Amino acid sequence: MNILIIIFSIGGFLRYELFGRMNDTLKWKKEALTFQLKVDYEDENFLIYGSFNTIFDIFEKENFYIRPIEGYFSYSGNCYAITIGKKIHSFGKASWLNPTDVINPWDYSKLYSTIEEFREGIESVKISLWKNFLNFSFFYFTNFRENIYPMPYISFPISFYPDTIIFSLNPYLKEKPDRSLKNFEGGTRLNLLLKGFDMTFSYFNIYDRDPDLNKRVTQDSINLWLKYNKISLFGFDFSKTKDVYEIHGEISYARTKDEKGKNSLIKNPYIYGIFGIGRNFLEEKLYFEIQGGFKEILYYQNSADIFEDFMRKISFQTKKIFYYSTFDMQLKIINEKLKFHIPIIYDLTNKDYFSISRISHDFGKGINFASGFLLSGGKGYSPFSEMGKHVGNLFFIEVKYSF
Amino acid sequence: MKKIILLFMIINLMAENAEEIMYRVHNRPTWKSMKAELELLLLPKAGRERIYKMESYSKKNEKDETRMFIKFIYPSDIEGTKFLLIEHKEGEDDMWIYLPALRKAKRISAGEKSGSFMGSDFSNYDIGGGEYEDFNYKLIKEDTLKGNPVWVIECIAKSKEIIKKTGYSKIIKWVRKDNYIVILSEHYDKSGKLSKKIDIEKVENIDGVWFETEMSAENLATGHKSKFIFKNIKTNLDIPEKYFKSSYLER
Repeated sequence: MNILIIIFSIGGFLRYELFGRMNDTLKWKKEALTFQLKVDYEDENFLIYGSFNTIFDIFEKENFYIRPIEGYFSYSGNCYAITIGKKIHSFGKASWLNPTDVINPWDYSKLYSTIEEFREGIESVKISLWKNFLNFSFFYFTNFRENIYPMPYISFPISFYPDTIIFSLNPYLKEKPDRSLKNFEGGTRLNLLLKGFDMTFSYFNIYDRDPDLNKRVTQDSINLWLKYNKISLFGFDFSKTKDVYEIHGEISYARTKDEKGKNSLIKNPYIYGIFGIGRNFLEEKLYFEIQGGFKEILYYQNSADIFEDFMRKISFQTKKIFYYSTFDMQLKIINEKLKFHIPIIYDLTNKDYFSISRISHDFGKGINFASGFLLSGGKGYSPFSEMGKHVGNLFFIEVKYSF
Repeated sequence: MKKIILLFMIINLMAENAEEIMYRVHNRPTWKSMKAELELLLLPKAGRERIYKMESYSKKNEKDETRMFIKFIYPSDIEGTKFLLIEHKEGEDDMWIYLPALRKAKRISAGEKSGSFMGSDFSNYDIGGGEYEDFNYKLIKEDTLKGNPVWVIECIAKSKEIIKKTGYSKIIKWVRKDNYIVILSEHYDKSGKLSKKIDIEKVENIDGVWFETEMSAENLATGHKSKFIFKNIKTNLDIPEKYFKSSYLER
């Protein structure tokens, strides 16, 4: 009788975090204790991994909740691998803004001290094949998960001469695709490494993680809710290093359901690109990266040109082209025990910003202390300015023990 | 006049020997592949020591270029971080780092080799073993160190670019005569000041190849020390090619 013994390694962390609002009056926004448990087994062929968070948050409606992060199994041979389960797939060579990374959703309804923690895993099957400098991956997503934004219920009167009707947007009503074959979500990525250029071509046919709108019109009201429609995304990203520089770029074309831009309730197709350069200084103690990018809405119709009065009022695509820039600085000193990290995302068109900056100290034996700021806001209509209005600028402290 | 010519010829002969010695140091026989467990200890003058543990896999391809895959297994806050190096004889090396928090492998520059490896006193250049072409060599003397006959060789950086790349203007190396292993080196920084000592504390012959299995580096300015230990070395294994693919980092 053969007995197979698998020894899992167990790890995780215990973290205390406190977020406060930087106002004239100090207001706490989050005080939580998080326990993360990770279990994994890995050998030459097999990989089994699972992690979840158990959270006790004083300021949440439900103080105590469990958040599954990932749980997947992978088997790999010499030139292939198959991965099944809930996993976070991160794509794209750019930082913070990724035109090709449209798969794993973001949950902005909670507060975290690192941008990566806003990410959610997604149930998927991934098959990879590789030979020499080529790597081909095929994805099948078995479940749809949307980006979550803390949007309030909106309702206000609109005057349509000679009457006044009630307009409402219910963000809790979501028309999501069910799990059926006709709602198949999948994609492919082809990666090549040639002459130092690391390149990837992507194609995804999925449901957009950001919603469009759907409406119902009655005699005295117009009710809107969120609807998720299919998009096809064609993407390309690359990176190359030269001496102490790292250069990267990422661009995508998204073909939405409203292919010609005729429907104000559905996003138009768009082109989205980010290009950046990073460099080390001071013997790699200091790292700087800057990126610039744009998003062009195709078939854009100025709201003044929209004939229907109601459609004009609810048009949510406010500009034809948006420009972005990001800045990232990382400094490590005292034998990398003390670290500073300042990433800033700036929407040049809306004049909106977002940043989670932190200073952290490693005390050894798994103990780490961090403090920083979560800043968001601006004058425009981007998610950053909306976050600024509802969340505001926050400071945080965090004590973490990893095991 | 004859004495001057004879002295000049002797000096030339010694210089040629220094070049030949260092060529043999950089081209010692190695294995086709290697798997090992690594420990990196950071030992401050005052305060708590830190330990990093890694698994390392390296393999040469048909062009005799080295590919190296390192996975960090301790401490827990960096567990799962992976590092991939693909060496190229012509052109720059390709390097990636996989950060578990980002779930992504990021390309990193191999250019700034003078940077510290994991906050230790070893630089990336030290870890890589250095490059023969970067220095001019001169034999200073013959000596005995730790009971071994050695050559003492002065290595002078060939150019300002090399000084900038390596972080060293000069290195003095003690090379064992029997196996061409550098068992002690004194490193001089960009300003010419003695800044670091690397001491090879243990050398073993594994499958016919001499290998440094324990080494320590000391920053003479701060008194901080670091120690690298290789354990459970297995050689000439059939390490799967998939370990040296950037896509495997994101598995």
